[in-house]
Amino acid sequence: MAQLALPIVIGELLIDVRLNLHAPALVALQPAQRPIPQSAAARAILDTDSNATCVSAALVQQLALISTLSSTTQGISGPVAVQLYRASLVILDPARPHVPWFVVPDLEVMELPPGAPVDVLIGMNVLLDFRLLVDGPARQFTLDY
Amino acid sequence: MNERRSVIHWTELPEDTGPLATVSAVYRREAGRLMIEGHDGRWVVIKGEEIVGIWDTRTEAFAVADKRYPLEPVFVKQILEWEPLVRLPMKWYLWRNSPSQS
Repeated sequence: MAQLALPIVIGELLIDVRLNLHAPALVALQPAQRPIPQSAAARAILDTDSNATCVSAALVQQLALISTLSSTTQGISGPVAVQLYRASLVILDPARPHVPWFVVPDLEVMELPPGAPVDVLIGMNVLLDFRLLVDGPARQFTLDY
Repeated sequence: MNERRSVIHWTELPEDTGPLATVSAVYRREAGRLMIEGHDGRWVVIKGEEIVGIWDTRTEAFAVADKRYPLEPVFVKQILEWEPLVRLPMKWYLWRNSPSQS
């Protein structure tokens, strides 16, 4: 069983991640002789209140994520269409930052609203792959799979 | 605690103004017919104004989309009478309505 134990910082569950194009797009780039984009490092917040994983508009643009689906969310005045992009997500262990701790090769992500104070919000569509234990008194949380 | 809606009927799907607006409109136009034809629960791939095909699983639909249209935006969607809503955290709405956005 792989386990990640991290401190709770300012009341939030934060992890280090890297993002890139979804794996099938990276595979398609090679025969097309197009450069493989560098993955982007980011800080992610874990949030069980969301069933979607979201990334900042800056990261969507930087990585040129490809839009493949649209979905709907509940806005203040009714349902609102939202764009979903495909990305690959790597969760890192700060003790071994050059080795992927967990990889999601093809993940649907939503764009965060401008001004959001985080780059990545990881929701239940990813968290359901883990056991998440929050040890509040110890100000620590663990992820394992 | 307030109940948040988790699904909407497909006829309530809102207009999409993003990069997939055209294909999204095609889906909204064709969804009723696709359901009458018994495709509820299957996956449709749409490119431009054309329905490329319908497959039983998400994996099959994405495999076709990735093979035919690598690195291009293409619309892949499960055909559903009741559409699940993306549930976002309350802080998302605060960020969206924060003074820095006005």
